[in-house]
Order: sequence, then structure tokens, then C-alpha cells
Amino acid sequence: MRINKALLTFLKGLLPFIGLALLVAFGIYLSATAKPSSSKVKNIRWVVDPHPIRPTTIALFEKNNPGIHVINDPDAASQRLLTQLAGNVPPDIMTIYSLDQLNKFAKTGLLLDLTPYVKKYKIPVDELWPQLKSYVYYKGKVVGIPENGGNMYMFYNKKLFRQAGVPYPKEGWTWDDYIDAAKKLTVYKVVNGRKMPVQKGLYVDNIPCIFIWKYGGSFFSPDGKKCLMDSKECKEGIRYWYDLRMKYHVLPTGEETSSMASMGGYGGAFLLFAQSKAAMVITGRYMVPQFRVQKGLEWDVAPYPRGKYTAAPFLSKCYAIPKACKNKETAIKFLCNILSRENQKLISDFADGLPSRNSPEVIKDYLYNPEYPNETKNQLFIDELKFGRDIEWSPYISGADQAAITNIELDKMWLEGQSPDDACNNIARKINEVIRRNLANPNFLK
Amino acid sequence: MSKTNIQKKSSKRDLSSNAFRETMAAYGFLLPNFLGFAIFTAIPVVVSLFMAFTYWNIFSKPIWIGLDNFRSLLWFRHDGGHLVPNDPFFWQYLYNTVFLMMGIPLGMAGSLILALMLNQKIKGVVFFRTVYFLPSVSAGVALLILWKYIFNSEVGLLNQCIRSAGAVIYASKPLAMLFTIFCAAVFGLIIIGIIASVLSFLSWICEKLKFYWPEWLYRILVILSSAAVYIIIAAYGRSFFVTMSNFMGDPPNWLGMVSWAKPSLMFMGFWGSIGGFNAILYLAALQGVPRSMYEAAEIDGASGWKKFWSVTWPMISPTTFYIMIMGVIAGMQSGFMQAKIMTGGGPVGSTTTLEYYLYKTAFENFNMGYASAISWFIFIVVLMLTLITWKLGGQLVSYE
Repeated sequence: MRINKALLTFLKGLLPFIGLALLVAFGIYLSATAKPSSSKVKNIRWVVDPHPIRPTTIALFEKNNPGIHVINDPDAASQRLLTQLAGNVPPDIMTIYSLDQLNKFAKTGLLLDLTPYVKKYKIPVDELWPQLKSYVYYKGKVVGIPENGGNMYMFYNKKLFRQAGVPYPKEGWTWDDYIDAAKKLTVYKVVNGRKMPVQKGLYVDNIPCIFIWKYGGSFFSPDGKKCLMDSKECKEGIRYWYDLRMKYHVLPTGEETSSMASMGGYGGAFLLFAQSKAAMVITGRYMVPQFRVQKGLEWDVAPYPRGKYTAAPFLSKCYAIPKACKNKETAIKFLCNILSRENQKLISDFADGLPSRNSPEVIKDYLYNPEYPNETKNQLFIDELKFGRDIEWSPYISGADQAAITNIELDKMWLEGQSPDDACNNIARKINEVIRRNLANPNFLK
Repeated sequence: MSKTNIQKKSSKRDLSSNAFRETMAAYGFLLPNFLGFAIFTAIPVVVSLFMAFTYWNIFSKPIWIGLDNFRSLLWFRHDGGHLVPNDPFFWQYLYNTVFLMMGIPLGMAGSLILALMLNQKIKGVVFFRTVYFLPSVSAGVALLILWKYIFNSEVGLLNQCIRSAGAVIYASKPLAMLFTIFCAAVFGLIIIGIIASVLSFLSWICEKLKFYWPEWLYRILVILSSAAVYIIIAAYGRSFFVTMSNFMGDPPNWLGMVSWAKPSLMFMGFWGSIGGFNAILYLAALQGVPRSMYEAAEIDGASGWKKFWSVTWPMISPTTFYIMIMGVIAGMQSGFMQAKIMTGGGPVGSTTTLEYYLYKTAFENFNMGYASAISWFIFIVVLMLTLITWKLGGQLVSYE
């Protein structure tokens, strides 16, 4: 029986370790499942990008709601957010950045239906700009609350315009007017025998719809089952874009952008405009905080280029509450605060887009900010909203696949000499192939 | 029972008891590690295998779809009269991954050369060892951002250096000629090196098939091909000169051109792998080679090269083999950070690897089942490559 004794001695030795391990595991379990109600301060977690306005928003909410502490979980990239959702420890408020993702989340029943709470807490969803509807509703249910929104607008550098003797843009300017100005505002210098771009007339991000809408084209058919990039209108748009960059050289190429722009920092390549290396830029009002702090930058905003089919990309994001959220009521309070006049004024003052509420008092606060008396065209941001259009997406192909195919073909166009028509044909063919595959295999659409 | 027998039995019991206790103690110490492995590795691996046969968007319950994910990943289908891959990206990204893996042997060769240099008895060798190991302890992301600056086409350090050197060299005709001849000679040597390696490989294959090449045939083939290479280079001398001067005057946009993006990343990987753990492993292996073997070789009149080829190389072959296997495994799983930070997977998807694709599938497309299928495909390829390396490389390794 000595073996058993030996085993017993060994197990006795092992007991403290097992006990310790159990204690640690129990501690982890307790802290993971701890109910915040046991403490006087209630914590809620907000997963959102690390925009400089966040601490102020939180401070405002905490001031209005003593006893609630908002944990800012910044830059919770998709893998962290998904892991939290899958692990059933969701954040209390999550941020959704695209219509594609909003529909994906809503379709799977992940988001809390806010409709009953809208009535209960009198959340002013009726006062939101009509353009924001797609960020609020999914199949008639309220699923998201947008804080801000707005089109992409034409910003211009007044100083560069004056130096080049080009009149400032005015209402009614067409694309051709803007391009004429851009040609005059594009400057090169010769360094060691090399022609180097010093200043470009225009900077536009890689958003093909800006150009295809100009000709009345659409990326997808209305039912989303067909990519229409091989249509005449889309080809015209992409050809126009191609010419701006490769024929008229008013838009920087990728190589020129990376050479001219300082790397890093909030705003990325749009720093070309902030650093007076691009005379005009098509971007959103959310870039204004960046422009404000740039020394020597005299900027203003102009109407979006007009034409037969004037349509500017409309961008927003929304906050949603996961169904599995453990602090629903507190999270709802936070969303109410998002649409409060005080918070909406914060958005106005900070210039983080346009405040999402279209109510007289919010508009009044928005239109004039005494801290920035030179910003006299705030009404223009509102007036242009009628041209706003959501970035197109299809429920039959994921946004990531669509972007990958489009970027690869456009890269071939910019870098390998593929013609714009061929790029359009290839984008349409490849996206339609994926759509057909997905339609044939419904698992891809679930 | 005699006293002696009782004593014998008792001592046997003691022995078995001691052995048992020791075994149990060993298991006891292994237990925490085993638990960690089971919970954080084995179970997720098994779950991911299950997931590979399901459609799972992380929010709802997985749906069993059998081999559909693998079919979508690997198969082709007829669409509009054309044969198209079910997955429009997979084959390109697999090609990118394999292409980038071609940098592994170069990195190994670099590590070995560095280790040989660091194995010399010179003053300040510890300082040099530290300096060359630094890339391994530096933060990966910071290094990648630094390299992004270096590769910038206009303001990057690399192109500035190339342009400055070009301006000096091509300002004087004799210098330009000398430089062109030098570059042509180096270029030729690289080509000859590749030809010699291919011939050696062929010779080795023939040897396995019991078909022996005579040594003179091998030498003649190398000499003839070397001559042919230099004749061709001389014939295209003018074009070579123009190409070189164009290159030096207007160096490429390394990360922005399809033809240069992958080689640029390979070069960066080469730099990173030279001074890393591989060099440390090689250094340790070199220091383990018995001095007596070199002395014996010296007595036999072996030259430096002969000593390396006949003593050092066989003695460090297990290390080479280990580094090669680990390199193959790591190579199939690489490319995420470079793509995420430096290139975004472009241009034209030329720097998107399977690992980056896996990430995008899981966390941008929310398709965990498909991502699991990709990961299991990577596992199978790694396994196959490792077995092939084991089979082929194992025959070249000598264990003392």
C-alpha cells in the first residue's frame, strides 16, 4: 500500500496549487460577471473611434447623469468588437460605420430594437435629417442613433487662389469650372532636373461614386443584384476621373500623394490640403477641426460641383445597443444624451460633421460659433444636404469583397495602364460573378 | 521467506515507489502547461476544424455546410461560358504568399554569413552581436513605419541615396563605365549562382535515381553557361548601361508598383531575418563545431572554403534544417503586418497574403467558417511543405 501512500503524499503536495488555480479562476469568474449595481457608480462601455471629441462628449454625459461612468473603449477595431459580441460580453454602445455593416448587424438580430424606447424616452428621431433615415431604421425598426452626418463638400484654400489670381468658387460652378481653376492651381518645380509636384489643384479620395454619379451612373442596380459599372455612364465617370489624374494632372497620383503628404496623423492624405499642397479638396465637415488648427491655412467651403446629375456622397455613422447589453436603460440614456441640445451643440462647435438633429434650436446653435467668426458659410453645409446620396452597397456582396475587387482593378488602371473602360468592365464582371456565386449559395448571404 | 528475499522485495518496492513518485512529479509539473495548451490551443484548434465545415457569422449559431467552404475556396465553376474560381482572390493571394517565401533561403544565407562574421575572434564582437540582434527586439510596427519612409519614392532614404549616387557616377563617363561593368559582373555572378544551384539540384536528383553525373560534365556545364551569361550581358551592354542610368536617375516607387512591391517586402524581410534569431542559432551551432575537426582538416591541407564546405556546413546542417522548417512554417503565416501597415495589401492586391486575407474574411466579412477553412488550408500546405522539406532536407543533414 506504499504506492497509494506515495500518491496521497503527491496529491497533498499538489493540493495548494489546485486550490490556488481554483481561487484565481473563481476570482476571474466573479470579476467577469460582477454586476456594476453592487457599486454606487454604474459603468457603461462605449466602443468608438478615438476622435478628439469623445472625452468632451463623455464629460457632458457624466455631468448630466451623476453616478454613471462611461468607459471609452477607443479604437476597438472589428476583431475586438466581434470577439466581445461573440463572447457575450458586448459593449453597451457600439459604433457602426457603414450601411453595409449596419444591415449585417441588424439582419442577424444582434441590435436592440430601440422603437419602444423612442416613445418611452421621447428620443427625437423624427427631428433627424431625412438623409439619416438609412442609419436609423432597419425594416421599420429603430436600430441606430446617428450623432452627426453630412455630405462631402468642396473646400478650398483662399490664399492659394489669391496667389494664382483665380477667383474664389461660387454657386453654380460646374465640374469644368473647378477643373479649370485646378489646372491653374497645379504647380511643379524642377529639382535636380526632376519635375516635382509642389501643389496640386484638387485632392479627391478614392471614391469612384463621386465620378460615376456625375454622369447619372450607379454602382448597383436598384435591387442590388447587378453591378452596373460596365454601363456607359459609369465608364464616362471613370474616364473623367482618369483624365483628371493622368491627362490633366490636377489630381495627385498615389505616388505623388505619398511623396507630398506627411505620413501619419488624423486625416491622412487630406493633410495635403491642410499643408497647402492641394488647393481644393472634396471631403466632409469632419475635417474642419484639422483645418482650424493648421497655421496659415485660410480655408473656406464652396458648393459641390454642379451638373446634370449633382450628387455628393453623404456620410454618417450611428450608435447602436447590442441586444445582449446588460445596462440597456443606462445605454439608452447615453443615446438620449447624444441627441440632446447640449451634445448637438458640442458637435456643431467642434465641427464634427453637422449635428444630426434638424430642430430650430440646434440649427440656431450650429449656424454661428463665436469662437470661429470667419466660418460664415455654415448654412451652405445644410443647403447642400439635398444633393446628399448614400454610398452604394449591395446586400448580395460584402463591402470588403466589393472594395477589394474595385481597388484591384482601379490600381491596375492607375499603375499598369489598364484603360478606364477595361477597369469598369472587369469590376462589373468580377462583382457580378461574386453576386451570382452568393445568390447560388445562400450561406454567403446569411 | 528468507530475509534476503524480503529485503530484495522491499528494495524493489522502494524503487517502484520512487519511480512512480518521480513520474507523478513530472506530470504534476507538466500539468499547468498541459492545461494551458489544452484550453488555449487544442480546444480552439478542434473548434476551428469544426467551424471550417460551417457557415458562422459569429452572431448566430453555426450552420453545418459540409465541404462547401473548401469548395468555395479551391474549386472553379462555369460562369457565363468562362471557368472562374469560386473565390476571386484566393489563388492570387496564395501566389503572393509563396512568392514572398522565396526570400527565406536568402535570409538563411544572410544569417549564416553574419554568424560566420560574428564568430570571429575580434575586438568588440559582443558589441557587434548586440547591434545585429537589435532588429529582433525592436517593435515590429515601428520598424515597418520606418521602412515605409525608407521606401517612399520621392523623399525616402533609399531613393535619395540611389539618386545621389547616380548623380555622382553618371557625371563622369569613365566612372559610369566602371560602375556598369561592376554591376554587370555582379548581375552575371547572381545568374551563374542560380544556374549552378539548379545544376547541383539536378545532379542530386539524378544521384537519387542512381544516375551519376561525372564531375567534369558538371564543371563544363557551369563554365559554358557562365560564358554564355557574360556574352549575352556584353551583347546587351548598351541597354544595360541605359537601364542602369535610368534606374539610378529615377528609382522606382518601391511599394507603389506591382513589380517592385513584393521584392521590396522580401528585401525588408531579408534585412529583418539576417540579424535575428537565425543568426543566434547559427552562431551557437558554429561554436559547437569541435576545434579538433578544423585542426584535422588543416593538417590535411584544407583551404578556408574546403574547411567550411567539408566541416562547418555538415556540422551545422541540423541547425540549417531546423531554420528551414521554421522558416517554411512562418512564411505561410506571414504578411499580415506588412499589408496592414505598409501597403494595405496593394497595389493590385500584390502584397495581400493568405494570412491577411484570413483576417479580412473573419473580421471584415464576418465569415468565421470560411476564415477557418482558409486557416486549415494553410495548415495542410504547411504540413505538406514541412514533410517535403523533411524528406528532401533530411537526407542532406548529418547528425553526429
